Amino acid sequence: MITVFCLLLGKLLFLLVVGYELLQRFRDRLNALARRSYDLWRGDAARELHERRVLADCRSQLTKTPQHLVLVISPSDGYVDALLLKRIFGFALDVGVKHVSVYDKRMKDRGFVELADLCRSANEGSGRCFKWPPSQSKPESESRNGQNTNGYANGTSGSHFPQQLQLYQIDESDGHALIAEVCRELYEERETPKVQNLLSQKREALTEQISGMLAKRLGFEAPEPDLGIVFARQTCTFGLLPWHVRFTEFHTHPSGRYFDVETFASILCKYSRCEQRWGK
Amino acid sequence: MSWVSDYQYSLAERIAMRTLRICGQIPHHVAFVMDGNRRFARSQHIDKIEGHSRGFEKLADCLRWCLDVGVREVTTFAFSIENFKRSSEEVDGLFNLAREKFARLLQEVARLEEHGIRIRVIGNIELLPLDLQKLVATAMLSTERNDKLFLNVAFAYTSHDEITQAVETVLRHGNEDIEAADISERLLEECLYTRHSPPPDLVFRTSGETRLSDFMMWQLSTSVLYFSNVLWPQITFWHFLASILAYQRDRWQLDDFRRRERMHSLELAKTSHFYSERVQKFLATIDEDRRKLLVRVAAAN
Repeated sequence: MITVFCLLLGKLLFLLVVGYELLQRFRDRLNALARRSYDLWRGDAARELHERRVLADCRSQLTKTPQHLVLVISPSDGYVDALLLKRIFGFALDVGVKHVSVYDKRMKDRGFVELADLCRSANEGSGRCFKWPPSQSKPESESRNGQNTNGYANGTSGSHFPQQLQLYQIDESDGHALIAEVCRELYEERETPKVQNLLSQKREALTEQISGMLAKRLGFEAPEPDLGIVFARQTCTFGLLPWHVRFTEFHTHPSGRYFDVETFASILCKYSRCEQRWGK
Repeated sequence: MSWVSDYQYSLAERIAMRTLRICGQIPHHVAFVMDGNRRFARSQHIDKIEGHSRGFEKLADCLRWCLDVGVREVTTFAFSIENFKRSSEEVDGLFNLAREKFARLLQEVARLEEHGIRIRVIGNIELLPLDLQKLVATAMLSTERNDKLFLNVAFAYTSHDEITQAVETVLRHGNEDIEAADISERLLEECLYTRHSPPPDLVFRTSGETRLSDFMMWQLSTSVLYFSNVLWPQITFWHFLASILAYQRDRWQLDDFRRRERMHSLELAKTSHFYSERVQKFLATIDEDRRKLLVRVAAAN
């Protein structure tokens, strides 16, 4: 008797959850349509003016700004396109973010955005580091403003904004596979004094060595991401850089919901309120 | 306070639990980041250590809930290597609490056997005081034959340390057994502390923080992450069920991705000779060495 009751309750719960999800998706799409129509109606100039105003307001409220923002796009997302990414890059540049990484898990034929198509390559060798906006040609030194490269920065309260954003395309082979590659390289050199010396020291020495080798292999110098926006219906890292995102604050933006300047500002404000305790 | 509480369910809780069990898939492995003990202590004007002690009581409740709902593996983040930066008073207090709880565990080995609970401490236990190392090793050895519910306690743990330990294991022990071409993500995964555990299906973090704090970073690439605003000592059965419901809602959207990852892992195992005799021999050596270390620590005076 109780089993039948639970079964019926379960079916009801299932219907409620599915109904709620569908309604929410419908509301998100309707809202997106209305806001996109409004943006079209008021024109680009008015929209940009509004965006600048919102971002200026946002900047004045922030106690810290992320130095490195990572955008994670789930394999099933159908809404993040080149246009949205360009707008996010613009917002990030405006508030003073220095580095943005894109980890797009979609297939090439399912909406994958190639950053190379959006920007020109800043590094002929690796072809995965770009600058935004692409029109400016002056290269910026990575280690300016005393920024911590290859280490966690946890935002900055400095007032100097970069002229160009550093963009990186992250691939799934940059995750677990890269760590395995580093291990293989060390294994091949295991008889050398360098590796033997690392093994005779405390484990932190080997950790440092791995960090350095990973940074070299990634092909770009940037602090560890301090803020991540996951475009998905559920929160998941999808294998994003397991070595580098240990202290990243994740914010999930449900696929299909409209992403505009207000969304971006509210994520930054939320990030700014987070207190990192570093284990203390 | 026992490791598995005698939680008394209300009728509504029983019905809700049964409903979720009948109608949806229960996660096999749940990982908890038990955050918010100190904030809870501050809000209640009690000592920090008392806050941690209340947190442990909740862990005992949580284990009972997991056991009853059908979760087969639980991993909890109890103490990070980064927590050594805290005041010596607090670190000592936490170690004393751990001593008390592991000593208690040894007294109730029969009860754990009855429930089939195996305790595994994952982390760099060599960083702990010697007497605590001994307690931990004895607890692990005493429950090693149980196989109904696995409780992994991450103590003196960070992912960076765990991954470095895996690399170190390959460098130190791989000499005769393996070739460079055998080294892949698949092999490294088997050298982690969680070698015998599947990756967590659900990661539950309390206290409203949305970061992972260097916890199981390697393992959680396909996990559903669930963040709740409740402080750990205030977690209730309903919060727990809400996380299970969220998992049931979200998991199907990750199914394709998980399937692809599994296929990739299988492919990798083939190309990197993971099932070859030499690699399996190497992994058996690691198991043997780890057990020998536990026996040595447990037997130390």
